[in-house]
Amino acid sequence: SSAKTGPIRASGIVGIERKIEENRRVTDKNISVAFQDLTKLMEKAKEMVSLSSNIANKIKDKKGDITDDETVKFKSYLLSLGIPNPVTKETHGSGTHYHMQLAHEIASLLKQPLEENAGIMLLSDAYCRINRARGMELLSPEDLLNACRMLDNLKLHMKLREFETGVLVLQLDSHSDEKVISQTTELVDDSKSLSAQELANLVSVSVLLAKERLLLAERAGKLCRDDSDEGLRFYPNLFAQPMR
Amino acid sequence: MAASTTFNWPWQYDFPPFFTIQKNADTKAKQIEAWCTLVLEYHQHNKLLKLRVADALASPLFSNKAIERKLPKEGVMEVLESLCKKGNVQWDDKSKTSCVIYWKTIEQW
Repeated sequence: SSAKTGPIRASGIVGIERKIEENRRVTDKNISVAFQDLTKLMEKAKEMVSLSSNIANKIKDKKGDITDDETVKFKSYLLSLGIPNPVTKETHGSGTHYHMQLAHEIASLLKQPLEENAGIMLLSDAYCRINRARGMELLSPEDLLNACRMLDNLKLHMKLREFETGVLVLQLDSHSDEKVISQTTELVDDSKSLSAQELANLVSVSVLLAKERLLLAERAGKLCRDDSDEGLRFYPNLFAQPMR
Repeated sequence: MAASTTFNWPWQYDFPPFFTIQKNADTKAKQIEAWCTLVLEYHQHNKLLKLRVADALASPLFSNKAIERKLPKEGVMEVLESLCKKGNVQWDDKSKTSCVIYWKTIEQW
């Protein structure tokens, strides 16, 4: 940079360069201040983490007592730190108080949408609905998942379910697979054969759920598949009734 | 030597899922069973003894032009293996490229 200082009003290219230089110095300073603060913060957090693992070890000594207040409190501390460690936590209180409350909220919020959607909803759809309704203080996917895991134990008339494909859904307790299977089979029977897309249009559910329905009916031996260049289609299982 | 009558294809032959190996174990068992019967009847009707896997893949037996479906190679191999277990098929070589089809098993003869 130039050594000339003083009240000379710089103009032209030199002035522009000097201005840019000045701006750079200011941002540089801001950034380094921010980072210094961050390191300090992280050091503090590190202390908390080591402290909490100490406590975790202590709890391990007197294990067995489920959901006593101490462990519940401890869990909410861990959550606020962002270091939930399920490995040692699982044996000392099931889940967290926060997730339990959240499960109640989810249950009351999603009951109606679930009923409108034939009692079943993708977890990703549930995530969208809840976070869109909230606007602020959004849920992390993990929080939602943990809260949903508790729905069944809390007797909230719905539960989390994992399909064999790994797709996670929320479903009402009143939802029955048998009914879905027979309905799906009937629809396929009526139209000779269906793809997931076509079924989704017929019963107005998402394609992903329509596919799960077809797979469910296939597993029950009601449908069979035709996998070709044209895509995956499902037919009534004529193999099961060979006397045609 | 040519067959005097046309071969009567079973109903499954016009059923597209017949040409996709089924995922459901029960359904698949029934499907393979139907394929085994078809392979034996086809060979008996056309008085064929030998089957080369490479040729069979293109033959009308495993591919139905009318509905544009054909059984993939893994499917063909599964059918032949199943027939082998029943004693209707004997492989010519270890790499399983061709085999002899017995319409009736040795015991049945």
